[in-house]
Amino acid sequence: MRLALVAVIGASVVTVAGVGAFAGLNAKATATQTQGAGTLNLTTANNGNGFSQAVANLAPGDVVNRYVNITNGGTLASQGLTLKVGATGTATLITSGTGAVTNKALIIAVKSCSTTWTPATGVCGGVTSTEIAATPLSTFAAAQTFTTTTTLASLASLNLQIQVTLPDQAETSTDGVAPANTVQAGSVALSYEFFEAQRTATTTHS
Amino acid sequence: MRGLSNSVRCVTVIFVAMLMLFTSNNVALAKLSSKATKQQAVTTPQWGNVIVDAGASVSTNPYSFAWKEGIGVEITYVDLRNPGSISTTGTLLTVSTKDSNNSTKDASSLTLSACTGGTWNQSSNACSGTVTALGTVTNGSITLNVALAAGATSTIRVAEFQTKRAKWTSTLSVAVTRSQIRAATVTNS
Repeated sequence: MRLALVAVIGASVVTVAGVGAFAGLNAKATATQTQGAGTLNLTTANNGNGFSQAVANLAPGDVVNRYVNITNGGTLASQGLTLKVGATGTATLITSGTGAVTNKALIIAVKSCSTTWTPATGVCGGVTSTEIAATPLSTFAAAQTFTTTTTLASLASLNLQIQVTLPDQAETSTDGVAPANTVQAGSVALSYEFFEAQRTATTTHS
Repeated sequence: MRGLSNSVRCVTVIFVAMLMLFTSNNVALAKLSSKATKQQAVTTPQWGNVIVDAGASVSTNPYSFAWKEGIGVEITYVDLRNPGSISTTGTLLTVSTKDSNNSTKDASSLTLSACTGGTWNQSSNACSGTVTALGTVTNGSITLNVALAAGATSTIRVAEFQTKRAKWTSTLSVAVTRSQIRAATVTNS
């Protein structure tokens, strides 16, 4: 039995190795074929100030719209566009208060334009779509999925408006001192991370 | 498999597993993905005003002033200052005037004035611009409609009208609410 098993294993190894060197006549026909792997290359470009300039002196109720284009520069189409925003800095601007703590943190929304945005006016020359509805900054710690544009063809771009809002909130400073849990004099470093995955794999016969 | 030792069975199982692994079409293929990352800073302003002695540095304590004892009018000058980073359009002033017994009965009233477009001559009590009445308060609050840019100061004349002879001390506290800074804006750029 053991000898038989060893024989089976040995035969299998030979088969798997593909070294089918059997005696006999052989004829060969050779052809060359290039097999290029597809690529994905997601990039961003500012349209107007975009991410190149800080959002400064954001008072409660203020809304700042910035414009960026994301491009899939790869050879493959992509899917599953998401945006994740990391945030470090003043806690009251990152996470809203609960219970007796009433601070309201930053909110981010993403819209797209079927043509181009005019940064100075915020006007979209085509159709505006909501990609990510207004969402608390803390929620962006997990990637948020684009809801309208779910795929991006090779070399295609998406024209985005990134909207940063500090919700209006009542804060009274007394003798120059801000209240507890204030959103005043805050500073947050945001790290926007756009992500795309390759299109669904295909099996092609040709 | 009957009759095989455990070690031989083990080797056989491992071998078959490896065989399946190398020959299977179900190998988990790595999927491509791409990320683009950008940074941006967001800052918020600080607002609030303080009252200090004219020319003094910023203090975040309520301002206290002891008036001379005597019937009539006494004048002093204070600075209403904006040490914040955003303009304010007004200030809520709260005044508490008490005598040496901590009583507010018959407390002196305070009348506040600004010198618009000029400066006060504190020796002659003259304003080189236009005197703007800001209001009169005894014990309570009034809104001072004085606009101050970030870092700016407005010198206020405070006149005490003493009707009851006592050692009055006034404490002035100022508050700035959200509605007393600029309105919210929508900016595209």
